[in-house]
Amino acid sequence: MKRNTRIFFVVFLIGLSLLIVTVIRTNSAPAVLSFGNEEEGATSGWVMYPDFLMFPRDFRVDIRANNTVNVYILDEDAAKQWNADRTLDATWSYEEIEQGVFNEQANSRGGYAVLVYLPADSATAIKVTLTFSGFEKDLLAASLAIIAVGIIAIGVSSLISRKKRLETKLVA
Amino acid sequence: MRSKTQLLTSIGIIFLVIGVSFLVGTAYRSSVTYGASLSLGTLSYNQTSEYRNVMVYAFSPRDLSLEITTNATVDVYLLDSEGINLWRSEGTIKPIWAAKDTESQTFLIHIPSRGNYGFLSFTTNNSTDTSTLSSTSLSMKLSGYERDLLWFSLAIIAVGSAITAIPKIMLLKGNRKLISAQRKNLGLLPKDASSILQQPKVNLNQPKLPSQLRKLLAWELEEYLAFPLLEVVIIIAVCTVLTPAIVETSPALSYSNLLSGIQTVFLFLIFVAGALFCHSYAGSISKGETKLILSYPVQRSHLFLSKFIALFTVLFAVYAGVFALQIYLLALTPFEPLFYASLLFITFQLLLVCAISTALSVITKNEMLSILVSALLLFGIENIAARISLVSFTGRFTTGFAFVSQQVHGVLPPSAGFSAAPTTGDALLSLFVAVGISAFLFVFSYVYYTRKMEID
Repeated sequence: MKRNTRIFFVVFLIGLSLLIVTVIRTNSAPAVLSFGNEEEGATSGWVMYPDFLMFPRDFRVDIRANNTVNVYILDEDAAKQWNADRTLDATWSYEEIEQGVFNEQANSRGGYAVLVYLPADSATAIKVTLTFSGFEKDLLAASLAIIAVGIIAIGVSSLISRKKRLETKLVA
Repeated sequence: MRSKTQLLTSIGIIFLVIGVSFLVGTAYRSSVTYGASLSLGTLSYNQTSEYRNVMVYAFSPRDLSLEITTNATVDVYLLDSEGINLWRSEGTIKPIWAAKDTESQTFLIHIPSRGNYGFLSFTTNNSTDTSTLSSTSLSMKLSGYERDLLWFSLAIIAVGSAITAIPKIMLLKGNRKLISAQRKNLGLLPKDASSILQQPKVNLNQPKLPSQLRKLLAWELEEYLAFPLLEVVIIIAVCTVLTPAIVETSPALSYSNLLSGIQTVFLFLIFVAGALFCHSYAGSISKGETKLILSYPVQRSHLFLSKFIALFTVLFAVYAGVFALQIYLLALTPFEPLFYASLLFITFQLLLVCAISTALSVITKNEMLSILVSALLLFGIENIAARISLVSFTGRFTTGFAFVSQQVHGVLPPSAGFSAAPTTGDALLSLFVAVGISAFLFVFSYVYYTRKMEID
């Protein structure tokens, strides 16, 4: 195998390995995260649950409450901002809702936090469940791009070498 | 003659490695203390019983510390499996150990062999009235080495040493005879023969040393990372490093995920690095490549160093490169100290695997044998030792990781399995065990390869 072709083949294999990793990681990352408690833990006002690590996968938000609530999902910067000056800049917002299921897509990996507003005049119990599914989109895109680059480069280099061989034959 | 000697040496080394592995296993098993407590129904000697019950325990040949707690004077018997059968069938007591007329007391018993054992307790009061019978409780603790395993491993080591040493002695005797014969022949030569026998001075136009090393490095990379070796290394590195389970979902503790799956990384690292190094050193010797290269003006030291530097650099670059992707995948900051600490620990463990494989390769000079021995030895240690034991790669990594985590973030990683933070001594030991053994083996292999090793 020629040196250039070998390098491109290595690139192709890196992409392939990343693709395998992407498939394996769909099972190794946590599939369900829950916040709050539907039966007990009734409270009121603004509540921010512990932040969590989220990967760019598809996810379903399942909200169950015994009163009308507002639910916000904040990214890391927005959570910091909220903690600093109570400025709300939510990535996903669900307002005036009692029960509901929403399908969403996360586009970037990092820390996120669930912020809820429970009516101040009543004791409200809430449970927010995030269920993740699918591949990590950034990894999938990167692996497919690397595979494509590898295949194209191998194809081009083999075409060039074939052309050179033909030219040499013609000259001979 | 030489090939037979080599074969015997190889067999001897296999025995030695198996023996040492058993010895390490025995030492590790001795650190585990088993304990149990039981309340013993105390019988009266004249009490007749239709069903003679005895609780059976499986003991290994270790030291048994037996603490008897009783509110009366009792006789306690220890029965082996034959004694248990006798007691159950005929009611005859044939103990291997007995404590007569004893009150609350502690005894140390040497368990003679591996097997089932049972305890009997009798009150010295001959009354059949159960209300007057005493209650006895036994607290047992097994400690010390398992003697059968210890003797077995020592015997294997002795056999291995003997098999390794005998051919060397035979070869030495043969060489002495040859030298004395040569001396006799030299005596037949005329007196001025010494001037004839003087070596002619050969002025070889040797290449400059750095350029020679560079050429050897390039040759080594081309030869021993040829298709598809490098590709396999990359695939294994990507698939083992990037697929650990995400055990910590808190972004603040995301670095803890670097710890999960590290055992898989080490297991594959052992296999990959061991196979590559043995292929390069022992494979090159057994195929005759080393002899061919050394027939050119090439220094042995350069050949040795080029192999080590080339393969270690490639392995480090591949694993470090793939490991660096974890910064992005785990959403860590690029300056996360735990990432760099992990990389440092992985580098030292890689160095250790490389040094062990090199040493085994230059001693055995047999590719398959050295791969097998290094893999068995390292896989064995890795599997036998606990997750936090400093004997295993995972244990050293976990200890170091937990120590740095405690120092930098003030918390222990939840998945590390430590109840208290490792001490500075443990952390330093986890680092210097790998560095020290690697340095020793590297120097040993270097000296052996450049000064002592005979290449056939």
